[in-house]
Amino acid sequence: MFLSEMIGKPVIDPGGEQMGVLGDLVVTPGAQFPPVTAVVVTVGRQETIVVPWRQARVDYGGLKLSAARADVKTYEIRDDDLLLKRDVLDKQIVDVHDYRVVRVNDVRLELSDKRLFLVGVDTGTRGLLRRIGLEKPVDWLARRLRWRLRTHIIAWNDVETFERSEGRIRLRVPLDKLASLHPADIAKIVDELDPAQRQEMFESLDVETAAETLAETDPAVQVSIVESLDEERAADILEEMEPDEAADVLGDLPAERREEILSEMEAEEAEDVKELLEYHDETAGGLMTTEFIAISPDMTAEGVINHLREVGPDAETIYYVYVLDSAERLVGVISLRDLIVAQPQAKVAKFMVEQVIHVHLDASIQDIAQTMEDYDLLALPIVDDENRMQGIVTVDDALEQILPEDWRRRIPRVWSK
Amino acid sequence: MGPGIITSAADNDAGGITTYSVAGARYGYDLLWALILITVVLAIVQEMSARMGAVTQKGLGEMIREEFGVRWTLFALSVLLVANLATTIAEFAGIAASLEIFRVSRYISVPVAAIGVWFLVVRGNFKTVERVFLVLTLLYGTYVVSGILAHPDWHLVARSIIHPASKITTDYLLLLVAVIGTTITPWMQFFLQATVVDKGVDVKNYKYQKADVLIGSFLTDLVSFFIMVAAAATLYHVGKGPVPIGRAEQLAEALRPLASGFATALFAIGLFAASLLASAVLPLSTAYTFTEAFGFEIGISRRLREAPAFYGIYTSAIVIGAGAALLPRFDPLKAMVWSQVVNGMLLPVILIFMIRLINNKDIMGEYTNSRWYNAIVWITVVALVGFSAIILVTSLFPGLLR
Repeated sequence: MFLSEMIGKPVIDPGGEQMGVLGDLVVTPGAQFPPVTAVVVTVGRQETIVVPWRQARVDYGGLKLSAARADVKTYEIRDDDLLLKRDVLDKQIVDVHDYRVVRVNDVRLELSDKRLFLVGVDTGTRGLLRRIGLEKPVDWLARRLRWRLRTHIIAWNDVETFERSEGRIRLRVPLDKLASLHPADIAKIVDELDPAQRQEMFESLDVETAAETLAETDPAVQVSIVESLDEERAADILEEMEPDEAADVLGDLPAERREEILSEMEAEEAEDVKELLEYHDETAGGLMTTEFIAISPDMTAEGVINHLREVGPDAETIYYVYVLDSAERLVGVISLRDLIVAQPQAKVAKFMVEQVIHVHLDASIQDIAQTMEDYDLLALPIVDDENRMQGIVTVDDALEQILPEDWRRRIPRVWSK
Repeated sequence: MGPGIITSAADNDAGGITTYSVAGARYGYDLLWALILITVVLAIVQEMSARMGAVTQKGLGEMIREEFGVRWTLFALSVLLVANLATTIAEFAGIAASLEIFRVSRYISVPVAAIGVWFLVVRGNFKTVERVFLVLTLLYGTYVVSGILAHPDWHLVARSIIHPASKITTDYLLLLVAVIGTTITPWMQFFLQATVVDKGVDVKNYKYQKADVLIGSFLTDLVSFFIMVAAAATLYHVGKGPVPIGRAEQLAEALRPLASGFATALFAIGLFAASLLASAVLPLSTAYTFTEAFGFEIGISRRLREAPAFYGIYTSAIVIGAGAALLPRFDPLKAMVWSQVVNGMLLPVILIFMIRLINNKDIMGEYTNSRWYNAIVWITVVALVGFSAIILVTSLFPGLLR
C-alpha cells in the first residue's frame, strides 16, 4: 500500500464517528524495514493528535482507532523519528544502490501481522501518476498500446535521507550505507546534492572516506565544499588526501582561505602541499605527486621488497621504484616485476634500468601524455634542472587531464560556473 | 555579472520592447505611473526569489514540489507553461517582425532561428550567451539616449505620472496588465532563483546579492521608462486618443531622435537580438523547471538519449513557439503584446505560491518576509486579479466601461 493512498483518508473512532483525517505516519528507524509507530491525525483545520500505532488499525478506506479521543495516549515524537509526509514524500533522497539522488514520488508500505512497515520509496513515473490520480487511466492506455509503465521502487535500506529543521539540513544518522560505497560513487552522488546537503555530508563522513570522496568530486564542487567547512575540518580532510590532490583543491581557493586551512594542517603535510602549489596547474609540477618510492643503488632486491612492505601502503604506486643517489638525483628505475624476478641478494644497481624516461618540471600535459604513451608507462618521474627527482605523474591523473570535456558533459546548466 | 543584472537584461525581450513602445505610442505618458509603481514591486519580488534561492539552495519549482506535493506542482507548472509558451511565441514573433523590416520572410527567419537556438543547447556553449547578454545591455542604452533627444515635455511627463489623462477603457486596462506582466514575468522568478543557486550565492554572501537585485530592477525599468517615453514623444499625439499601431515597424519611430535614418534598422537589430536571446533562454528555463520539479532526469544525463524529458520539453517549446509564428494570419505585434497580457493575468498564481513559501518558517528560518513586503505583494495580486476580471467581464459585455 502507498502513502499517497492513505493520507487524507478518514480516521474513525471506536464509536464509528469520523474523528479526523490521516495527516502523517511516524516511523521509528533502526530496522531494515522500520515499523510505523504512530499516526498523526488532523482534526479540523489545524489541530493534530498523535496516536500510537497500537491504538490504531488499518481498515478499508481508512484508519480505525481502538481508543476514544480522551483515551489516546499521545505518542511523543522523538528527534530521530521520521514523519513520512513531512520528511520523505516529495523530498530528495540518496539512492545508495544506484549512486544517485532522486525525488520521492510516493512511499511504499507493507501490512504484515497488523503492523505497518516502511518498505521503500517510489521514484518512478507510476508514482507521479498515482499522486495525480492518473495511474489507472494511463495504465489502461499503456496496456492498449502495449507499453509497460514500470514501477520503480527503491528498498528502504538503500535510501539515505536528509531532513530539514528551521532551514538547516541534517543528514539522518547513521551514514554507514553511504560510507560503504566506493568513493567515486559517493562522489557521483555528491555532485548532485545541493550545497547544504553536501556540507552536511562532509561534516558527517569519517575523515578517510571524506578525503577519498573529495578527491573524486568535480573540481568546481570541491571548492564549494571546502569553502563551506570550517578550517579544522577542511584541514583534517585535506591532510588525508594525496598532496597533489590537496594542492589541486587548495589551488582553486582564494588565497586567504588557502592560508587559513594550510595553517591548520600538520606542518609536514602542509609543506608537501605548499611545494606542489608552486607549480602551474597544467605542467608536470602541477600534476605530480611526491608520494613515490625512492631507494639507494646499493640495496638488495630482498631489501627493497621488505622496504616496500613498510612504505607501500602510503605510496601512490609501488609498480615502479626509483633509484636515487646521495644527491637525490634520478639514476635508475626498477619495476615490481624486476624486483620479484631478480635474485634476492642481487644489488639494485646491477639490474636497474639506467636510462630512465623522465620529463622536466615544466613539461606540458601533452608531453607527459605522449611520453607515457610512447613508452607504455604507468607513471612518469619528474625531475628538476639538476636531475633531482621531484615527483611522479601517474597515468590516471594524466588521463583525467586529457579526457575531452565533451565526454564528461551533463545537462547544460544555464550559467558557466 | 550578478544574477539580478543578468535577469534584468533578459527582462526587455520582444514582449517588453513592444509592450512598452505600444503603451507609449497609444497612451503617451499615461502608463508611466504604473511602471514606476511596478518597479518597486519588481525589486521586492526579485529580492524574494533571490532570498529563497540563497537560503534554501533550491529552485522555485523544487520548493513548490517539496512543500505542496505533486498536484499543486502540476497546477503551478501548467500555469507557468502557458505563460512561457505565450512568451516563446512572442520571441519568435519578434524574430519574424524584426527581420521582416529587412524584407526577410518569416518563413526563412523563424525556422532558421529555431534550429539555431535548438543547437545552442545541444552544444551547450553558454559562454557566448553570457557575452551576448552583456552586449545587449549596452544596446538598450540607445532608448535612453533617444528618449532624451526626443525632447519630451518633462512637465507633462511629471503631471501624467501623478494624474494620467486617459480614460479607463478595456484597452487601457489590457495594456496596463501587459505592462505589469512584461515587467514581472512568471518565468523570470523561476530563472532568477535558479541562477542564484547556480552562481553559488548563499546566506553568507547574500547582502551583495540584494544590491545586485535592486540595481538590476532599477536599471531594467529605467530602460523601460525611456522606451515608453521615446515612443510617446515620437508617436503619441496629445489629445487625439490612442494611436492605432498595426506594424512593429512603426515603433521604430521611437529611435529616430537618436538614429534618424537608421532608426528602423537600429530598432530591428535590437528587437532581433533581444528576441533571439530570449528564445533560447525561455525554453531552457521551462525544461529546467519541469525536470527539477518532477525529478525526470535521474542521475547525470548526457546525451539526447539519456535526457529525453529535458530535451523533449525544450524541443517542444521551440517547435510550438516557432510553429505558431508561422501560422497564416499570425500578427507578430498582436502576439507580442497579448503574450504579455497572458503573463500579467497568470502572474498572481505564481506570486501566491511564492508568498506561501517565503513566509514558511520551517523552510526560511529567520528569513521570512516582513509585513510590508507581504502587504505590497498581496496588493499587487489583488490589483492584477481585479484588472483581469474587469477585462474579462468587459470583453463579454462590451459597453460596461465607456
